[in-house]
Amino acid sequence: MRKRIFALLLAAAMVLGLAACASSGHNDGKKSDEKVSGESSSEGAEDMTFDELKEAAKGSTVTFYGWGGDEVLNQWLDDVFAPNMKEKYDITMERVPMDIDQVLSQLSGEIQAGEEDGSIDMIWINGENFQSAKENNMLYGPFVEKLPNFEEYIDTESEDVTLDFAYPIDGYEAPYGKAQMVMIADTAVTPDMPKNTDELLEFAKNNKGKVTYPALPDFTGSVFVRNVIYEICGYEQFLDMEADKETVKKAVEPALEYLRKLNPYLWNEGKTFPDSSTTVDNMFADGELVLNMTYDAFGTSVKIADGTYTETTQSFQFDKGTIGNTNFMAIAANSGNKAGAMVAINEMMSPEIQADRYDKMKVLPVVDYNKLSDEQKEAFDKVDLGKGNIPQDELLSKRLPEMPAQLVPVIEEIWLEEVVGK
Amino acid sequence: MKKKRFAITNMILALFVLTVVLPIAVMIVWTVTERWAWPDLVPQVLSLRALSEIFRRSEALAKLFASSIMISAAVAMASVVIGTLTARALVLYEFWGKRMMYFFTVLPFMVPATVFAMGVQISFIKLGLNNTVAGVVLSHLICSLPYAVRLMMDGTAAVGDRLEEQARVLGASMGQAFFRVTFPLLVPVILSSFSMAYIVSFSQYFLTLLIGGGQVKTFTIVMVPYLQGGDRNIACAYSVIFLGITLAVFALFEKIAGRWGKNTDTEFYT
Amino acid sequence: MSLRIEQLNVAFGKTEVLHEISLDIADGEFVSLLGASGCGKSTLLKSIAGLLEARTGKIQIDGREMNGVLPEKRGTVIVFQDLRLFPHMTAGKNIAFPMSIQGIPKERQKETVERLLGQVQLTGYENRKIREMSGGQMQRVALARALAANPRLLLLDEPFSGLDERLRAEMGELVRKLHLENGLTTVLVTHDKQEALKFSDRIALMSGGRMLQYDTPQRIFKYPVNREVAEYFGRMNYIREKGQEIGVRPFDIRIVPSGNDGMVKDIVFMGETAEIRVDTPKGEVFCMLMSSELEAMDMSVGDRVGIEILRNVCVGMAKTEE
Repeated sequence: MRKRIFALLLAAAMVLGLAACASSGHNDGKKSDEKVSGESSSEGAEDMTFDELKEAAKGSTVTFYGWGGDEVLNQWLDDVFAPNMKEKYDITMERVPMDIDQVLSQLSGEIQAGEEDGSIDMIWINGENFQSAKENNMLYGPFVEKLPNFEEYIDTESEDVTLDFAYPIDGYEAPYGKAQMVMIADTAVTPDMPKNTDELLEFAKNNKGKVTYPALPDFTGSVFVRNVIYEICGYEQFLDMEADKETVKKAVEPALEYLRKLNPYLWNEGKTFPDSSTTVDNMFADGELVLNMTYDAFGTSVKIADGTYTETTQSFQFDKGTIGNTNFMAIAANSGNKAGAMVAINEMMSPEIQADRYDKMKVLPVVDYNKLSDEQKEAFDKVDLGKGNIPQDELLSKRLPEMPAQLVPVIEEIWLEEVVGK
Repeated sequence: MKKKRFAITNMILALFVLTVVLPIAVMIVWTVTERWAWPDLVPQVLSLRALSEIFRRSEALAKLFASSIMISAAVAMASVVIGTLTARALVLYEFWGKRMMYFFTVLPFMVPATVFAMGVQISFIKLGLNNTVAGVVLSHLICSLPYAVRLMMDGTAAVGDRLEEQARVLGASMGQAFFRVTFPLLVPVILSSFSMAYIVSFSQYFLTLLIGGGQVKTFTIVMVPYLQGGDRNIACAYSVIFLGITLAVFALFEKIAGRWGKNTDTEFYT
Repeated sequence: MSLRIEQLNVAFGKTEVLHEISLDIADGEFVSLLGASGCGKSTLLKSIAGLLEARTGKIQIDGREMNGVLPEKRGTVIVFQDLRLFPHMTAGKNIAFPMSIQGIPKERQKETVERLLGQVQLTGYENRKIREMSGGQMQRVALARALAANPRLLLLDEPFSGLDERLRAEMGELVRKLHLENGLTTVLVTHDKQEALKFSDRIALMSGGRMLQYDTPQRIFKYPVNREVAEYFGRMNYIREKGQEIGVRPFDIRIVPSGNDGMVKDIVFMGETAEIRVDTPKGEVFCMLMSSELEAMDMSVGDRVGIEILRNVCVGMAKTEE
């Protein structure tokens, strides 16, 4: 008998390890009670002035969740931004590298479980992800008009700041940096850059099998296809189009026709497409492809400086322009440190920080040049953009707005059905 | 006949070189490569950028490694202890619900972590275990235990309880019988299940991310974004470090286990 | 060391393996548990050692109730059929194992190991690895290790079954010698009746989980409680005589060439002995005799012979009490 009891005990010890799987906690009520009473810094952040927020955030820690695959950006956040926040506001910045899908899945898990003192404070986000997070009440806000730098340095009326993929922001996110799609080629290999879709077709014919774009729904592949659609179908009609598949399909049909015509000259004859923009980047760097494309408008000079791209590499646009968008910072609805997050976001929009980002990472700034003092203007003016880039004024003059976020997945679906392998 | 066997060994060796050695060699070259365009056999542009960037972070990385290794070692240790006990229960004893118990132990084998991760996350949040090291260790245990239990079951079945019975009638208590007889014989299996559990934990990305909420940082958590980011030399540098550290840790386990196995004997004849 | 077992019942799950076993062993006795494989002998041994729990019944050692006493506290040492030497230890460390458990100083352990190795004729084998030893050597190490535990009761579970006949006899002698030299109380489990008859003070014959008879070798041979016991120790003839059936062993029948009780049906030469079958009106009679006797008789198949019963076996009339 003793042995049997012993055996059961052994087994029970193991079940403990697995119990985690099945158990759905019973003590949630108790837990959240404790949390509510123990929380002070983010309580009533809505009613505080910015100075009060600064005071409340002193000594706290702010977590910043976002994609962590860019070493230069990671180092800048750790070595420039974090020390700056510590010194100026006594706030510890903690960078958490995580893909946005996972950030949102964790956030929704926490919210569903009733966690009030959430682990996520600031989130790097935009587009459909923002729309779905906001519609599911996963974001805190509106908060941007509280931030002095937003009012002072940012063109609050511009569509780059009020709309995110044509979706109204309503003060739920603050601009972080601007992106714009550009294409990249090596002038030593292909001296003539295509200036429109017709020339692109010729270009593909002349470089058969060495041109492609990332398979949708990759961000970059997706924006390339939207850009082709803009070229062929114009962009105005899409800005207020409803996300009905038949409507969209009818509107983009000429572009689909063009893309199908392009297929035979593409890499692998358009039967398949590279899985991601990073694959295309690497294939271009390896000389396997002669055309690359990126959201990172000034990234070419960085890569030339690193030696990844040749000295003769050059970025370019279509004459009618390329799509640009803004990426943003938002605050989690259950953030345990909303005050700290607001202070950090405000700081990120300061001319000094934006100028430093422009200098170190060549990120298009979100501040309005005209709102800056002469001194501040100079900080931007003296930045050397390096080789291979399109001058900023030219780039921005050919900047096209994003389509409404809800059209994006529809177009991606249509592309899969109508273009791949056709 | 002999010649044929020789050919087969050569083929296996070639396959090994092709699938294991070559990729590792390429990875090592890439740590200092900026551009290696087709069809050249050697990289066109070399730089120490990736290495120097990693070196600049060496202090943070050292901390990261210390915590990763601690977490994985804790998971491995717990897996071995729980695995050994569970295997004993399942192999040596008869009790009600044994088959069911066995089924539960191997269930995480059949169901991928992504399936139950959400449930684990919600439960852990309610238990207050999310974003804690303890929570991450527990969640890793879910994945590593099936391996530990399976391996320990084979080991326990092979050693059996015959020798323990013998030790008991020779005057040893239950604990003495286990630690002086069964344990030394299980050391090789314990080492395998420890290593297996360790590597499952060390390379666990998804659960660590979800349960640790990004606050519990392991090397994998920091490395994976670079792998996805496409910056090949940094990704390769991280991978090479990962590989090196893992090998070093395993060599250490092997050494400790060797010494441990030796010490359990009464040594008066040496 | 005395052992007393009263109405012991042991079961594995729902199947009862031992029924109502009672057994008394006096201090210094050598007892054999005899029976076919699967009769419960080994189970009884494990129950005595405390490796199996009794469902009902009592086990007493030196008058002390053993129920609930852990195996390591009983002072009963088993040498198993499969020896169970610890493969990760040398011969010397195997033998020293029980002493190191008891915390005996290493110097004394070493002396004892040397003495015991001498007793089992393995002097100088201390550092030998187990896998480098022969079967016979392993038997000796197992015996020495059991002795090192200083057993109150030595339980041997068919330890010689793996050996060839010569080695088996040799080991039997060794066990008997160790039993006497060390003043042990020993229980030997065996299915070999010769071994049991040869070494034991008393034999307990078991079958189907029950104790058939427990008696001295002479008495169990001569006064078996039933036919099953009688037949276990050798072939039997059952002959009707004066309305009563009597049991006769083949050697207890004399062939009388001049007589006329039946006809010789078959003669089989077996070397030292010979077997003869005689057809009689009372049934076929199976006799054995020495080959030399057969030669002297000059008999062949078909001859008429007389048979004379020298001695009969008192089946079912045994009196166990002396």
